[in-house]
Amino acid sequence: MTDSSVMGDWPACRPTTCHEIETVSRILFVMLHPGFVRYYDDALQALAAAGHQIHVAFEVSRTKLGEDVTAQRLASMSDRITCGPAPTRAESVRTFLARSDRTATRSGGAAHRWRDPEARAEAWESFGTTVRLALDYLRYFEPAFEHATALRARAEKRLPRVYPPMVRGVARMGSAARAALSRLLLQLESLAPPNAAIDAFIREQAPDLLLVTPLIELGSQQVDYIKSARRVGVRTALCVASWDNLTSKGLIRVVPDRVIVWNEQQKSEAVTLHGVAPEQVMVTGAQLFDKWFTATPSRTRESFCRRVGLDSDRPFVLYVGSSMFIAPDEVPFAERWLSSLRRAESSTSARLGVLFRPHPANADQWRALDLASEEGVALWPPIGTDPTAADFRSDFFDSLFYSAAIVGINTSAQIEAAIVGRPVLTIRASEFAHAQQGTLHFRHLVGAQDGCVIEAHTLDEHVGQLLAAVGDPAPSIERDRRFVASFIRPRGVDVPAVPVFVESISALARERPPAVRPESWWLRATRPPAIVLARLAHVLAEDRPLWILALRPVITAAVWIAWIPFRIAGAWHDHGYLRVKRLLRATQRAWYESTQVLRHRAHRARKPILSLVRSAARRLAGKNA
Amino acid sequence: MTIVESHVDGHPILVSCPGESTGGSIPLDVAELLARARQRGVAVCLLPDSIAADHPLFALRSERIVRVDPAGARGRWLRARWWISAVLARAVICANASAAVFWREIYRELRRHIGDERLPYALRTRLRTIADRSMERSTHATGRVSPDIRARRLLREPLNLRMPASLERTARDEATRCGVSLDRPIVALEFRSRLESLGPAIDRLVRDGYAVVRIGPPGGGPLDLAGVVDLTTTEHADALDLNILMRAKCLVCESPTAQQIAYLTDTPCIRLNVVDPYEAYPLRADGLFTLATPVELNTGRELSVEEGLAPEHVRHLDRFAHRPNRSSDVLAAVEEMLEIVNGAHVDTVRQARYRARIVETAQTLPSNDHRRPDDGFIGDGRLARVQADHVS
Repeated sequence: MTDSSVMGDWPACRPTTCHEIETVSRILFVMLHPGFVRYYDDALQALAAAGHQIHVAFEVSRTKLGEDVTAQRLASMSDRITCGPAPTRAESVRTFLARSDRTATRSGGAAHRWRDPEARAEAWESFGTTVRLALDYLRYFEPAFEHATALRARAEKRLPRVYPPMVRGVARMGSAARAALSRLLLQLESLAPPNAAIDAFIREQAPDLLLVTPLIELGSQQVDYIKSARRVGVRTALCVASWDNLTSKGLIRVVPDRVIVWNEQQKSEAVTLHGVAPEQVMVTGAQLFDKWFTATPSRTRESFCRRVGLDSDRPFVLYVGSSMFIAPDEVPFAERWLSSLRRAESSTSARLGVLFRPHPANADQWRALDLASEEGVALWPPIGTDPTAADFRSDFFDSLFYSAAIVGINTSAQIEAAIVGRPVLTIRASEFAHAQQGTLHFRHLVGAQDGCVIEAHTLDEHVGQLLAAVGDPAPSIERDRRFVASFIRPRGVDVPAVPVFVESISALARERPPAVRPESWWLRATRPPAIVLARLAHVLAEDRPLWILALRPVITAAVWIAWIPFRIAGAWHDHGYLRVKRLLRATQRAWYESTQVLRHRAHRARKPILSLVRSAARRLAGKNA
Repeated sequence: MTIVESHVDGHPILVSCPGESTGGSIPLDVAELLARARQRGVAVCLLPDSIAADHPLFALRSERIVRVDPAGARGRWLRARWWISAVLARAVICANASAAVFWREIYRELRRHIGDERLPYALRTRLRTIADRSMERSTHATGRVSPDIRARRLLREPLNLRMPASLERTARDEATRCGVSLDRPIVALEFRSRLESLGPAIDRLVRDGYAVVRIGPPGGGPLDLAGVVDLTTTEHADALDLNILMRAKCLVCESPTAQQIAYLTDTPCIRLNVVDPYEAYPLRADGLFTLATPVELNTGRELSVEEGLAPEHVRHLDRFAHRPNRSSDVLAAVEEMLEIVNGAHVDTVRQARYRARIVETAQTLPSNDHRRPDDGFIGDGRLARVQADHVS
């Protein structure tokens, strides 16, 4: 769910103030969260400089790695760039997943009425998310993902437990069954009604071009933007943010007008794995890496080594940490690696310094690394360093630039190292099998023809390769050059990707808007009865055992039957009880007062009666005497 | 582990199937069964799990405990009896687990209605009471799904097992082939991470005349030091590893499996880099261990030895990184182990204090936690002096 309070505080979240500048076109860029800004900040700046008016909308806020700061910085770069939240969803993917937490024991909150429009919207969101997650899970049964067990398990984990056995069962029947199920799921996905808030948002923004990224997160709801744009008549494009996006996440379920990728390898993935027509794919190069081609060190080698605690007279190897999914327990491996390096009987090995650089999103585990007894080994930047700090990126560049070689498991830093032109190495390790042979994007790194990474199957083999690469880096640099030419800058190593990206976007924005594509009548006709499916999906998303769902009407009925005596008791307490009490009190008072009067009268009547009795007695006594 | 008492030819016999399928650890299951049989003076029948049927652990014999071969019709009968008992035991566990889930789901279902403001306050209060009672029942049922508490007291005494002659021959041949001299005093080593931290300790052992033999599964790279024979880099029979353990003066290990096998082979054992002190506390008086240093992932703060016993650590191990022992600590611990082996060791006051404290804190573990002490007994072993000295 979008946290608009955070978004609203941004200094640059303001209406356009550049009326004096002619706007070429309006671009609406929908990002999942501000973390995606770092992939496009240079490109967005260039687009703004080219005269485009850009509004960046974030579906969810995120502060884990200071993404909010990054986005604020983006908004302050140009008057033509504004940022803000995307429309709030009835149920975000995050909420959907939180609802399926079986261990949660919190209260469920007020139940919705059956006809409540809010409940209906939530049910449709649940339905959409469920179908999309099922599609994403299904894709991992394709032969290309045969070894992707961890990716498949990750996709399965997101689905409520009732669905995976069904999907698995069909998927194992063969490719025809998979294709049929995929078609069915896509048809079901299209049943979800248009999101009125998104329609209104797009109309309000009135963009010439809608860009989305990443679109392929598991169960991503960004497809609704593509669908809304079609209904409104706005051209759309998917910007593939990173090198692993097309192979390690979900499907492009609704194909936008264009898909913008880095290179031919990704184009091939878009066509073969996502069913995008080749003519819809635009290859621009990796725009986020342009700055690495022109970067220069921010300090001298001596100064850098002094800062990180290494001897500047000795070459050093940079070990780059990987993300949590790739390497959840990397430190013991890093220690083994260091130990192998130190054991090698070589003068080069003994002289080599080592600099460990944890992955910014997976740094905490590196606190276990004990370097007290190690000489010529350092960890830098210190764990907890703000990744949005101004010098974070330049420090990283310095680390790469001054290193003799770079070692890592499977991380983007290896690509950056190839751009800087350093030998890049990896070791296939059993504990990282899920992230190496189990992912398709790893093959881009280690490909025999155009991969940049030298791989080894044992630590000893790796140490040999590492020492050779440090001794003679020329062959590795040649590998890097080939990789960069093919993977990062497919239009030529000297052709920056940002201008190509900007030109592609500008051309797209200039194109005539597509015809408005209203929904088909049959979709609208099918939707009312399909609400039953949506309600069912909403209930099943709780991921509770099926028997409790069967028992739910009974429990609900019991609760509402119990409501009757409680209601009567309440009504009795509120109304009947008081009236009777008042009546009783009035009767009591009447009785009391009447008895008081009688007593008083009796008391007053007692004297004359007594005197009458006495005088009568006296008279009687006188007669007798 | 399900242990069934039966009779063969009128004699009582304990039958069990140690192994993965019973959810326990094979060496400890075997050791516990044998210890029970010895205590009661009855025979045993070990039904090898299909996964580990060929493991030499099942071939170990004791002169004091009669082993009944599970072959033939008698074996089938014993297997059937054990299987029925195991199924019944599992059914009881399943029933309790199902009851726990049932009451928990009822609790969650009632919580849904408690949040419904359309219901009268009094009814919601009543529902809350019922929901809380359901949760109590769930917790109670969870408590009954308890794994068997390990009979730690039974395992504190040596088992005096020996290898059959045929297996011994195989082991000797393998030893010759792999270059292990079985005539020298041996220290077995099972270690995978940070091999360089063992350097000074190995130097010391070699200086004292020990042959250091590295056993166990491959991994962590070769250990290429003078006086060390690394069997992890050569193909060899499992019997050799077991034979070396039986002959070794002591075992320096890192994994729980190696520590548990040492209980079967009666090998004094020091376990390094222990993460969970309750799980690793040595049962035997000749046992020693060192703790890896827990580091809070969020803050980087190092926990003290005593803080490592706290529920915040042992129940949430994933919230901590564990820093392995430094070579100086390993050396000190191995030297202490040599004192134990040579019979010259006396527990320090702080080591005794740590033992008392771990017994005390282990009592607070949940009733269904297999790490709980056995009637107040957690083990006769000790934390290495080099770390126990920091206990207040």
